[in-house]
Amino acid sequence: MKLDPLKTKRLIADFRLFFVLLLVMAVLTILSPRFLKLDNLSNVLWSVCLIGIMCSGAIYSPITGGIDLSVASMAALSGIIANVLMNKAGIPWVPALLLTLVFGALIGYINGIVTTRFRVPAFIVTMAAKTYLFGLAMLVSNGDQITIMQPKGFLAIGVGKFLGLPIPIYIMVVLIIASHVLLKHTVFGRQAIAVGANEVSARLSGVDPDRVRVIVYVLSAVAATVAGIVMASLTQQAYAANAGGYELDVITAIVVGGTSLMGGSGSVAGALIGAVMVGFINNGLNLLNMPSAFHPLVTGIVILLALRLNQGISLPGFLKLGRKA
Amino acid sequence: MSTSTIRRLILIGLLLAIGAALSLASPSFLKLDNLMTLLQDASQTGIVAIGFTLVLITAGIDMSIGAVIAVSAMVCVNFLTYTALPAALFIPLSLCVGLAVGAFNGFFITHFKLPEFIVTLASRGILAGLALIIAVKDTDGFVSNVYIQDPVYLGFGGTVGPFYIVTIVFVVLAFLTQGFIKRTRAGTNIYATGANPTAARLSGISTTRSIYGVYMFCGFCASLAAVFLSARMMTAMPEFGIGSEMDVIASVVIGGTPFTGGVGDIWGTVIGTLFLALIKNGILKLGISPYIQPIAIGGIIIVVVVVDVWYKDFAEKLARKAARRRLASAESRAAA
Repeated sequence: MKLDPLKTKRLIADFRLFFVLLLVMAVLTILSPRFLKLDNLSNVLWSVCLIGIMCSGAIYSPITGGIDLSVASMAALSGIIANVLMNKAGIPWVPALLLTLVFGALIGYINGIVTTRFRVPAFIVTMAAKTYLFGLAMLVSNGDQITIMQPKGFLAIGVGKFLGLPIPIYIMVVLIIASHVLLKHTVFGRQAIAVGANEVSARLSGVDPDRVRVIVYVLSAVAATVAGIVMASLTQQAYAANAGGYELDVITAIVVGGTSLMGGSGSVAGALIGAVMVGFINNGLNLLNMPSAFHPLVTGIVILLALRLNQGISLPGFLKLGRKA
Repeated sequence: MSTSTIRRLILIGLLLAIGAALSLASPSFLKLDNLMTLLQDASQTGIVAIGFTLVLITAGIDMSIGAVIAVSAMVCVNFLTYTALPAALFIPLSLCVGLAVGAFNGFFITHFKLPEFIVTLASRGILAGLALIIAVKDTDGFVSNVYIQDPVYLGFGGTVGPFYIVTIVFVVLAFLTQGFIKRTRAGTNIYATGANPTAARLSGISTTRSIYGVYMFCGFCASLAAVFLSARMMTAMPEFGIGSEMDVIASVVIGGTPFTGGVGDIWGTVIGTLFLALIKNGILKLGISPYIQPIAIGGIIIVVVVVDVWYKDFAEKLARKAARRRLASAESRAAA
């Protein structure tokens, strides 16, 4: 069998991330004996689940050259909205959750329309969305931490098990696989990559970039809504400041996974590995008794490092600090 | 009249109208005290917004300003607690923090060609963490409240006549910056960098230098705001300024500086900061839930941007129509 050198190179690049992940795990195992314990790993799993669910939708905006910074606020708000619909309005949980998803899609639609129709940079629109969604969440919940005890069906999403594995894992796996298939094997996924790589040529070949972008932000907001519902069900509470700072984690996971923020390329599998890595790093900081202040600090450094490495520069090149292009 | 003049007049009209409505709704609004506090709030945001405007003119963005405020305030407090240095010495040092962060941002943006917002978002994370780490801690490791008693330091929160010093500094800074960007070569280079970086580079302008310059200036402004904020509060906390970038962005956007670069000036930003401070003051005075504030700020940014684009399209359509009419009348005259 003849090996395609280009494919081999890509395969190695794909697995490079996996090796880094193993390296992080090895370092953490050596540094802290508690790391490989089952209860610790299951702790990591929860945050990986939430970040993974968010990533499955949020990865599309960087692929088209945009960004979605509103995912964390969207998730927090969706938990609160779901609670209001189920426990105040008395709607059965399935239609209530569907309504919450519709609400999320609506916010994503607004983000998309403002970005495309009015040509505003995506990070400004979504940053503004993050701000007003947080305000909305505070307003609706009156700034309280709401405990959700009802209904049982809703709570089963977070704590229930199927074949011995918690249900959130299934949700994450299904969404990640769906997202991967959507990106690699559908017309829409190809269109998204085309729009991110070169908008003009995409338009000339008959793709409507604005339509693609609007769908991208709807996907992102819906995935964030799902994450919010899972989170509310898992922690049995809804709070406006829940998931605060998750957008940075989501971006880190996506960037570490090799997706370029300039658009035109992306890997859902990479983002999943990135999510696991973010989970491990955060968990490692906790295990090493580092103050929580180190969390944003490390995340920021990881983003900058990953972005630099994504530019196709090997480690020696990085250390040379690069030459002017 | 150009569209930006019309825009500015509309804004000033709105400012006066909201002010009049507020003075009717709340009797304490027109008190000198409240007005001066309003100006103080506006100046606090405004000092940062001036630096931010320059960044926007180069078509960049700086998300790290809030975290720069936090770190600079923490540096001041550290000097105050652990050294006997006079305030006149360590305050300039803390202003250098902003310059250093700006240089860091500029380095990653120009040298590595990374997108501005992600670089500054990352440095925001790094700095927000750093502020917590270097915060003055008590023996149990909790962040302790340092009360600023240094008279020189507290002087920054003082008043001259009815005006707070921060307001005067804001006005002076606005004049200087406006003069700088409109009347010096470096200022013109900043506009050129934002309007068309390739063309600017090809005509011999060092866009790298412009970008370094604006980010360093923006960081400096944030540090300056941090000194005034901590002097006003008489203490400093590591949460200072975190999230304030939304206020700054809103002010600048209301002022009419677009995100596309190459356009914008300081007077628009000054009006924008006044506008935002008025709305925030109004929310406070009318006793509306404080949770409305983020909704208002996020909503204002989106509404203003949408109206701006809509208005630009509308004005272009009018201009096209007028041109067509002129052409038609010229043709009919030629036929006659």
